[in-house]
Amino acid sequence: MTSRTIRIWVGMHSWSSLICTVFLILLCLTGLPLIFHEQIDEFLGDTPDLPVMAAGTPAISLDEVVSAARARRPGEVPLYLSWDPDERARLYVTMADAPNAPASQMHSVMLDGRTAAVLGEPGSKLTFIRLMFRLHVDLFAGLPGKLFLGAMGLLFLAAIVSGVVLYAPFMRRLPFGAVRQQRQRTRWLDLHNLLGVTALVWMIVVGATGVINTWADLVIQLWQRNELADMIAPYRGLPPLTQLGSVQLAVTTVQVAVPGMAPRFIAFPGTPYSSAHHYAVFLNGDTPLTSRLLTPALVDAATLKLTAVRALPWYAKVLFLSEPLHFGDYGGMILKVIWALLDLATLVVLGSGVYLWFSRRRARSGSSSAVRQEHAA
Amino acid sequence: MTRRLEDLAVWRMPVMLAVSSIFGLISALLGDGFWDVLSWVSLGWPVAIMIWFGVMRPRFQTKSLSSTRAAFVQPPSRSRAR
Repeated sequence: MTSRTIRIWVGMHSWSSLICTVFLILLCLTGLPLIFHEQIDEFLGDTPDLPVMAAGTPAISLDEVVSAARARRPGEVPLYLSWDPDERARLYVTMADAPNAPASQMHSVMLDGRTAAVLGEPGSKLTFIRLMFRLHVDLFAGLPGKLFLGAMGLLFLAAIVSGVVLYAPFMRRLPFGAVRQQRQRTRWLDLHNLLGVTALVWMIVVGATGVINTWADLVIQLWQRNELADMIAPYRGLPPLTQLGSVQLAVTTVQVAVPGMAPRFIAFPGTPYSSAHHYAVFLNGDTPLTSRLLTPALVDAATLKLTAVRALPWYAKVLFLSEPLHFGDYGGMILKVIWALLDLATLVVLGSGVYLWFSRRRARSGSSSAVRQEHAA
Repeated sequence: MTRRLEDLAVWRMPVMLAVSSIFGLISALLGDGFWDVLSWVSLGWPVAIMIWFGVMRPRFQTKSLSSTRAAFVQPPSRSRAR
């Protein structure tokens, strides 16, 4: 590789990382507590306790649960009902003034699935974890914020690729793992390269899945325009619903039709995830892989008959599989700890990169052979 | 010819780390229990490498350098790149 080629790649590496580093540091810092969000929420007392009951206590009818939510938030209508992914007895009912209300005007009610008792209203106050989450996901700026952070993620990936191209020329004569201690600058350079190449795959996977997650809203819109529109085509133009049928019966109908899968999320009629005439029951399987892939089943909300069941299109599967690969929550507490350590390593790579850039500027104002020195080392 | 081999040798560790990391990331998605353990080991040893070479070994190096400096008049040779 010629000296000129190296300088071009160094330029690419420096500029792509300089623009995104501040935001990547923020993402790593906010991401760190998010890895342990359940533990932190519990520790800070932000998760209401679930009353302890006998193991086999049956779930109460979902209609009772919805009634309890309506009583908690009078005048509002139910939009979504979902199960906590880690605790089947914890249910969330999202209430709002109308089915097409914006997210900022939705209210989530947490209920006990065995007694329909209201446990609380998560999201009504800004907890530490919620603050970290909003800073991490969209800097409190909604879709433009997400897309901006997604662009920073793409720059991060470009910085990683150019870093890999530069690895061999810079590391050729150094044995793996060597971190020369003689000078500050070479010490941080060696550390930057060592941690960078070791955490490489993790940084690429978490970075790329992060970018994909910022496109979630767009993926959902695509799904609504294609798949959902297709599934509800026969119902287009029909008069609106007058009576909402039993959501419990809708779920039972689906479970009979699709055995072996459990409901994870229900969208009520009129919401963006369903049609004006259907309950959309999203099911998942029980393996770590299938528990992330939701299969939508549409049930006519008036007759409670199954209209359609369809697997997710490939682009929605990619989105859903990006979640565990980004969060690191699919391998127990030990995987979370490993995730946190790799996050810290990334912070050191980012921080040392900033240091190296500043110290090169200082060196360059003194001697122009700084690059050649490191290259030849 | 030897220059090509020398170039490829730089990639030996990085490739092993990469393959192990890819396997570790996927393994826990495939199942629970045994698959999780495979994941912890495959992702865990690269983390151990980072801690050993990045934090612990430099600390041992500087510790031994400063203790020998106390015992001898002349500082030890600086050519220990390993």
